[in-house]
Amino acid sequence: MDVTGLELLALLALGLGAGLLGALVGIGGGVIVVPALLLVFGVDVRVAVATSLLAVVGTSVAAGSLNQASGLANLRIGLSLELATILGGIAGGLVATAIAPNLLGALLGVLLGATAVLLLRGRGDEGEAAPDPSEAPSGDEASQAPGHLGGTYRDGHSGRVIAYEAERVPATSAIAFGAGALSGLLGVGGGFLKVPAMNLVMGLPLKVAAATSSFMVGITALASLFIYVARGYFVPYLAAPVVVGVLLGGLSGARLQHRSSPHALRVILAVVLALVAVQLLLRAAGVVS
Amino acid sequence: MIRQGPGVAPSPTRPGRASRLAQRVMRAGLVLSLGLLLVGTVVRGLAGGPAEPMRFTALVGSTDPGDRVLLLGTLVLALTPMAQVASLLVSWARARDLRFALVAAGVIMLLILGAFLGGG
Repeated sequence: MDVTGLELLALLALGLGAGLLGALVGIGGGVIVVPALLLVFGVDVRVAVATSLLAVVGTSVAAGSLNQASGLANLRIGLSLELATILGGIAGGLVATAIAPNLLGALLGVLLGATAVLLLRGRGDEGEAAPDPSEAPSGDEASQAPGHLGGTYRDGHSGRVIAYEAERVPATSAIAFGAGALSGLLGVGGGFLKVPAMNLVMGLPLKVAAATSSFMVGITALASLFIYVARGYFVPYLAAPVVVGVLLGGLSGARLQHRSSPHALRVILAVVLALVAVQLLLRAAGVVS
Repeated sequence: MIRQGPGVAPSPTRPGRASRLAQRVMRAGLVLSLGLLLVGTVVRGLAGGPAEPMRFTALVGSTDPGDRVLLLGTLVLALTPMAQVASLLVSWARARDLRFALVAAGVIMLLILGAFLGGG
């Protein structure tokens, strides 16, 4: 396919928007990149998925280069859930042909719509009164103690110190498994499932869930990216401007996230989920490809 | 569960050594891949011609320098998260946080397994 100068700029702009939004709410941006490439640029769906997967890796790298300095991303929780996610990705890839895509898309659309509603009705980051300081995690890492699935961080918006503990780890791992299975099918990092799961099921503050998801989605997408490249679906000259935009947009999104109010992030994420739900239901109904 | 307020841990904001090393790996990958992708896009754009699908083997097989730089930038970007996980494995192993060092090792092995199954 030919790529004109104007299309190069448009792809760059697409990447900027996807990276900014993705880093802000902890998704990889694939839910924006794939439909845009399909509908606006007329790209083959497998090429669009391959481009999107690399863009998701880019969002994760950009956000991670800033989030890890702030201590927001909980790397232990992220990697623990990634075990389930990658297993899901492998399982999804192996059984993909046995699942009716329309049925899967419809079920996912309903799930995401319900999640968007739950997020809007969520209580936000208000929590219990501060505990005895001696209960706070200790060890080499002040914010994330060895062997501990919890942590603390200073919220950039309110200035308060917030401690958290992970709950319902098996249930969240099961959702992460599902997110992994969807990753290779849809060209996404699964952040739109992982962020609500970590916030609503695991009980993490939304900013921690978003930052941890940003860390995770790159690894998730990587598992599928190598497959798409090996099968000849990756077009470097098409992907490069998108990824450059994503890297730059992701840096801005990560900075904004730290200063944003949890309520604003919650609303933005709910809107994104609702839009993805509508898109999936339209695809399942055959209205869009 | 979320707790907040003045009684919570007094100095939680400085990330540990593992996080700082992982962040340095991410930043290096970001800068290097961004530079390669920018240069590759310019060189490829000046050369002209249609955009074609490529595999990583074209790094040595392709005659177009722009495409090779783009593929190299792609490879650097793709390997950055894996390098980050490897850095966490080393940091946690050194800190005797063996449970999560094993988790990191498991993630790397699964990624390699997935790539092997997908490319086969």
